[in-house]
Amino acid sequence: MNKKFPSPGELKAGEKILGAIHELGREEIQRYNRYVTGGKDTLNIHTDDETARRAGLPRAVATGRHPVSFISESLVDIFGSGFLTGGKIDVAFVKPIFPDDAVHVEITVREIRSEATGKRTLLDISLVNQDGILVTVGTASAWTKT
Amino acid sequence: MEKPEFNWESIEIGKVVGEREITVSQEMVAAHLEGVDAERDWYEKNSPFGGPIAPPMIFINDVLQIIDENFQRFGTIHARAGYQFHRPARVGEQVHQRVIFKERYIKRGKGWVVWEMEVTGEGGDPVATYLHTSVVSLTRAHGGEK
Repeated sequence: MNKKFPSPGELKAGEKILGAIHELGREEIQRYNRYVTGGKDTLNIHTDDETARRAGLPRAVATGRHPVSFISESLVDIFGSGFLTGGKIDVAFVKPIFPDDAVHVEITVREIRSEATGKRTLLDISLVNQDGILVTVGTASAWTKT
Repeated sequence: MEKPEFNWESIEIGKVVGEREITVSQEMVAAHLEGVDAERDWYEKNSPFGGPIAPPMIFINDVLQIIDENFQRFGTIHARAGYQFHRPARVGEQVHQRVIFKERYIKRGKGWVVWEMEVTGEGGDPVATYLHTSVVSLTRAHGGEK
């Protein structure tokens, strides 16, 4: 998953960075569910269509938390310790992610701000599915460490 | 002792929902990386922080785990999330997690609850803050159907 990203010192406002594509098949969703449950296979709205329908959903949906890690890992790829020590993410889960969807991370540099303790890069972030639909949107920021 | 049911009325702003100590293990990190299909030497071998560190999202499911240790919870839909990373947790480090009810509000006819989890290190220094916002069914007294 570690794609080649630009170095943070080279980023400019308005620049868009596309992350890797992540396929969220039923196996990937099942694997994440096992992680959440400490290794158990359970039936819930994320793993079972029938349970999801009983909850009013058209079918099973991935958890919103699962692909947020795709965003955070992309930010570690770009900013390294500048994200791990002072990074922020704020997201809204605006559309469901269904099994067999594929999402990719889009990061747009909004502003590079000089602060007393260094340069902070402010970002717009989103997860976009295979049909171009925004499923998760928000903002993030990280320090640029040189 | 039976856990109380979580609902709109049980939200007391500032109240501690639950807290616990956990030790970040290499197994936890490996399970997380498998769940989100990630890999990075910093997490598995060595890092600039001295030894392997945990991915920033390592505690992402612990907010709900702590809530579920203390309440019976049905039908909360995860709508927003916020994360702030002060420093990475080190593999082998014991951290303290504390979840509180941060906020509740009614918007567009729906109830919303914000839980906050503070993660601190052995010396009490901040490691990360996780905010988890969910939609909650309103009780009849607040315009809901229950």
